Amino acid sequence: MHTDPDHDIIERAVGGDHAAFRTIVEAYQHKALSLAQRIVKDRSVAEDAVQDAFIRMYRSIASFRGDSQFSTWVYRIVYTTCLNILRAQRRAPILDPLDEEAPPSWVEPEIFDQLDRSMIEEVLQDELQKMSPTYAAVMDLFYVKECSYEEIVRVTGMPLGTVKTRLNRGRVILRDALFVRLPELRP
Amino acid sequence: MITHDQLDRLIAGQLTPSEFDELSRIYGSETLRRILDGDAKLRESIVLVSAQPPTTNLMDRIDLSLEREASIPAWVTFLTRWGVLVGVVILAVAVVSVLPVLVESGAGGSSSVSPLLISVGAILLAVLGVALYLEYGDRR
Repeated sequence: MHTDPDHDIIERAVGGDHAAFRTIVEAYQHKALSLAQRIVKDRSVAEDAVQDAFIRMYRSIASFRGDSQFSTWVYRIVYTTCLNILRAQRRAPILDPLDEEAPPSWVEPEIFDQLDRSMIEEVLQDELQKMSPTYAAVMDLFYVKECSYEEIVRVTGMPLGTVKTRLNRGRVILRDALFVRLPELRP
Repeated sequence: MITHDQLDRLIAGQLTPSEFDELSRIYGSETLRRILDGDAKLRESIVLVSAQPPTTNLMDRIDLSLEREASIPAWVTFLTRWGVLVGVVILAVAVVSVLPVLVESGAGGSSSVSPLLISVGAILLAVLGVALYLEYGDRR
């Protein structure tokens, strides 16, 4: 489960303590980077986005009221910063045909036992890299940041149903890609 | 077949014990175990491929940016935050100051201040307002 930095550090940062804010940056830089990477797809652009996002947080941290988890607030700023970058590059997702409903899907555990780990990692990396930014962001928030559906709604502003649909479709994409390497397991 | 809602709640750990028992009766506890096991392994693998160190020293870059940000004079920070509002106010002042002059000129009246001077001042204010908007308007 993701954890917020110590409550006292957040309060000090909200009060303008530069050192406390730096502690927050240290705690979140890698998580922010992995989310940004999933959205903008390019490592160098993702690092610029994370840098920009932390500056935005520094400017607006006084407005953090504690209505949501601090991590939700951080991820929301990273998410919107990345989408702004995509818009500026005219790469923002507009309509995604994958939003159609798919049958409820999960990934069979046998795949992970029978496929070589490096191959699994290669497939997942490829597919997450190719995945639409908003899908990949939802997958990252759920599987890496361990956000609840409701937290993902707060971060992305997507309706709850869309979050669940995209998670399911994301699993379908990864599952299908893994089955390509192991077709004999396909039910 | 398991429904979307059941799967979503099972994977998110949102089922109550009685709901879990009910699903076990319907689909079999082995099926639920495989779903949870597969999802846990998927999570583990996604976490692994997502954990990559930054190519540059990101922390140093952020530190530098924060130091620059902290050294920015208060009035610039004020404009960054309230630039749009300041721009709109200046624009409004410009419009309000030029309107009476135009009305008076149209009615053939006289003014103690040169209409040309006021118009030029208003245009300058308006340009300043628009410039502030363009410079700071999208950075809030």
